[in-house]
Amino acid sequence: MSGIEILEVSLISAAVIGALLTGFAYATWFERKVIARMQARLGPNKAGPAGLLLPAADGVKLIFKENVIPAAVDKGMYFLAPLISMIVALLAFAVIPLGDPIQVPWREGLMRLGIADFNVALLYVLGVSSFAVYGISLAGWASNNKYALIGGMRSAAQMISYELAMGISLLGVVMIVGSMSVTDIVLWQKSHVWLILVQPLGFVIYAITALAETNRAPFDMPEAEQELIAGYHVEYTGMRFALFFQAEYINMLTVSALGASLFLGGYALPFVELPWFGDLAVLLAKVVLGMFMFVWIRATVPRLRYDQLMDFGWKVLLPLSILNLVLTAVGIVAYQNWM
Amino acid sequence: MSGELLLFYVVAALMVATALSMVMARDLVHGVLFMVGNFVLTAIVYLLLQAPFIAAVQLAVYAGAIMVLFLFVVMLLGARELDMREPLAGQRFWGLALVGLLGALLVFVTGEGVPAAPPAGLAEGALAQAQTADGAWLGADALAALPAAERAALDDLGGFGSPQMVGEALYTDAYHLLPFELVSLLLLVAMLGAVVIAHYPARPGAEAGEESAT
Repeated sequence: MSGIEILEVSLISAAVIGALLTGFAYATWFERKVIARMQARLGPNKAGPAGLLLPAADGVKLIFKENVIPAAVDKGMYFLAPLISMIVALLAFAVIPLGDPIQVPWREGLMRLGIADFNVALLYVLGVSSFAVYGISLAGWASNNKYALIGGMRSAAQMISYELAMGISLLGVVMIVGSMSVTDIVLWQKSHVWLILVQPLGFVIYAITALAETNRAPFDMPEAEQELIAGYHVEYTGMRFALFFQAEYINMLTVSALGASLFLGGYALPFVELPWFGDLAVLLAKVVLGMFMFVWIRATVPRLRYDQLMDFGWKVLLPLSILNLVLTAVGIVAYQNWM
Repeated sequence: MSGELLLFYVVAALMVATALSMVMARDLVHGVLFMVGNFVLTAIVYLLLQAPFIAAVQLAVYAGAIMVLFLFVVMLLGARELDMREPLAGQRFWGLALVGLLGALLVFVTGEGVPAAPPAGLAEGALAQAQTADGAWLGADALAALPAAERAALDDLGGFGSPQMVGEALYTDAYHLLPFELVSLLLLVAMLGAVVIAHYPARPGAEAGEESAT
């Protein structure tokens, strides 16, 4: 890799991180606005036109909050936990292709639109996303607060349980495409058909486990207000709290983008070739669709009880994802032999 | 010194540091975290050895899943502060002595006893071709030294250490298939054992939805 390519990748990474942080700010605005309309309210409308300056106001407020550090916390862990959450949330986005490679004037060859493309990308995503558990459970543990600890424990158990079903639901996609590289999967869908049509069950399982992995309603057990006040981040204030908040929304953006890339054709549209900004716009539209689903479900479905959540994960989702795996394997062999 | 080697030394130094910190941490949760750090660094070493698949598995399985369970157990059992007395008499002395012995053994094996031919079973595989003339197995230099035709054959399998190649080696090669299946069987037995231990007969009159949820 030449110096100029390293520079390109660094710039793209910086742009993606910037986009994710902006995306986080506007995801909070989007969520409040959409939920408000679903509940026949107006939602934020005071700061700027249609409340568009609300994220800025929120940010300023959080920065000026007093930083309360409770007595008897484990200092190192207490400071480390939000950082782990945030960094892990940003890392997973690295494998999402943002568009077809483009010609650039400053060098020969094509420039890849995306940070990284390697042949174990999906495994990398699963590995990195399982690190999110550390951020949450350490925050719960370091806070020296029983509610925080229970919240952290719940989230650890929940994420471990749903990670399995998520990983197995993605295997169907890998088997059909024959590659774990997200770029290859998008290209396959470009030349064949969107994988949601081939893997409907896999998509449904992915969507449900994505809710659980991001700790979103109806799986937002780790922060159930009625029982746990706010769960793992109850002892965090100001920008440290905001880091957890950011991590949650960036995780939502990432699983939306990943779901779009794996099941909905990624940055491509069927039958049409788009220029690079068209690719970006298509991906963005699909991510917004995913975010809308997140918000819609939060406004519709009440929170599960904890034992229901565990039962559902282990006794319904996991067997279903294994069924999906077996059906896919049989389907592939049948297709190869008889068609 | 190549950049790769420099990176290796940095990572290796950090690995030794995290391993020592893990053993010496008084707080078990810190110990678990140092171990996670150690596993992440191990994944980087795998990347340096041109084995991205193993690196990703190391992250997903060891650093991601298994260590979370460790953390879970440590937190749940609340065994935070360790008793610093030695449970075995003379533990430190024997520990150091055995470390010295292991170190001497490693120096002897890497310095003297390197097998001139690749190990049996690997000889026919493409893996063997990654070995350079002086018997080194390490990294990109060894790969770059390959003749063009052999490199192309490797690339057909997705490159050295790719999931395709690991899969071919594991599932089509009898040297690896049998041990792999035996290990799978062992894991299955362990899993069944865990289920049997965790399963208790339902209390008479207990309702179906009332069992504990973990």
